[in-house]
Amino acid sequence: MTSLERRLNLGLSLSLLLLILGAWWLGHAALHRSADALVLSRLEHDADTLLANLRFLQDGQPRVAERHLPPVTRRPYSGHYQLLRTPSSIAWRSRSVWDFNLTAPLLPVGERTSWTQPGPDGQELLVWSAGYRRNGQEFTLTLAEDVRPIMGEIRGFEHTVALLALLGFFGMLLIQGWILKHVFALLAPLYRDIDRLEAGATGQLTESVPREFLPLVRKFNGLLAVQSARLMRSRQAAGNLAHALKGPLAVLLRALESDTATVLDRDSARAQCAQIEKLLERELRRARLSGAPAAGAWFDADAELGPLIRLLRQIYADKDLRIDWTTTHPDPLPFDREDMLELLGNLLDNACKWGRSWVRIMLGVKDGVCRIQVEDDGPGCPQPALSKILARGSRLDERTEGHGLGLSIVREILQLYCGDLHIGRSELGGLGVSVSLPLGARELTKTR
Amino acid sequence: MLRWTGGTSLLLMAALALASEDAEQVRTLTEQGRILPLEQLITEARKRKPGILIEAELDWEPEQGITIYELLMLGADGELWELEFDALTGELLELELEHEHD
Repeated sequence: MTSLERRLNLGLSLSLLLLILGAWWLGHAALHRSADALVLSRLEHDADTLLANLRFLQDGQPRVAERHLPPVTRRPYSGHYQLLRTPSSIAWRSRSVWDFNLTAPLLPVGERTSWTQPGPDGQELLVWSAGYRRNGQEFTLTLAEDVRPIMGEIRGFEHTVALLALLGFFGMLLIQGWILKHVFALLAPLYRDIDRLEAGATGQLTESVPREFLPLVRKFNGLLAVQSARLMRSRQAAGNLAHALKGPLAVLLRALESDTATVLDRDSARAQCAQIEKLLERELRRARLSGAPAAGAWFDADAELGPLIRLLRQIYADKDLRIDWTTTHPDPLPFDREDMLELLGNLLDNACKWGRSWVRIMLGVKDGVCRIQVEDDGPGCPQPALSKILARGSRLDERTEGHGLGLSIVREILQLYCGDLHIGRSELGGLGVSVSLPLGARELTKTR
Repeated sequence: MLRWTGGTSLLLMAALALASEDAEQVRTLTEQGRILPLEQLITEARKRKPGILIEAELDWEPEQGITIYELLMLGADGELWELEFDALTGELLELELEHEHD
């Protein structure tokens, strides 16, 4: 399972480590370079002093006026060492070198170099060496200084910095943990609302959550709205069906109860049975047209229309219908798949039912509005009936007459998506239903 | 600054050259393995008196049986201690507070 805290900690740790190591390396390099530079410049000055007090005898042997050298070069193991090398041998050492073996290269004239090496008595030497020529005599001066005292200081400082960095590192992790804990505490109202949702005390989750969680909450609320609308629709459909069955059943019962059932009664009962069968057929068809539920999926018109139309051709196989469809929008639309199948299923079923030989459906998107037009070449609908159908709040009675337009369902879905419905005459001669659905009308569609 | 003039310079040079002569003698003897290295004696001295080496001298007259390494250490207590070792064996011969004796 992924953990936000673990990921954040990992990210913070890595970036902090990089930062600390980088800063450490820079500081380390700067400190050591400047300390070395300081010591080396001093050694260079000492070399100048040595040069000033140096003379070569006729036999090529050097003579150094040692009492003019710094006294520290006279104390054994003092940490300041000086050495003169001629091509043939080490010709002179300061007294401080004593019995220690200080390596001394022979450098070409004008060349200088420096290095570090261990000294006597645990010392750390920074050694500076340069090649000279004087009166035709080539020699190399090598001077060394014990840098232990400076290095001790630097190392102490570096240890302190390392300790502080480590403390800072863990401190930052702690602070981040603390912040995260408080962030997650901000989600408490959400948990409370989910409990209330379960108990039926609310239909929505609170939107007073951290901004980053708002899209999630809105999407969830959108889904809740869709689900509750769908639940309402199926309840209504069940209610409608129950209501529609009630009348025929009453007639049947009466026919059964009467001892003297006339032929007329029987005919009436048969008619009622046929009515019941029609109603059941209708409901079954609706269920088939809605397809398999795939919660929350987007509607892909190209992919869904084909099967839907094939299904309708099967249902109306006896009619030999020509069903044309065009979609001008290849991408999935941000509408719930089930809702759209129900909407299109109802419109198309209606068109197929009334159409004589030709049904046409067009789907396109223009200016952020999805337009669907379904036409047939049937008898159409007279204007007064149309007004009745379209009258707001009027419940279309689909039961008694058996030729309802399935529009109540369409209207409910349109309400959910803030859509519009227009019914008129089609170019094909029959009814033309056009539906427009704004793409961004609902939070649900925005936050997908 | 020295002035390198005339005949005095040679005399002067001879005197100056003597200055680090004892170190050269110690080096030769140590390299020959005849006396112990100073480092070893310092380690030994620190066992008795932890401190810093201030001065070292070799009293070398083997014909008379004198093979003494004198170490002057500045102790952690801030006092100067004089330690005498046998340069051949490293045996501590004397440990005393430094005083003007020669």
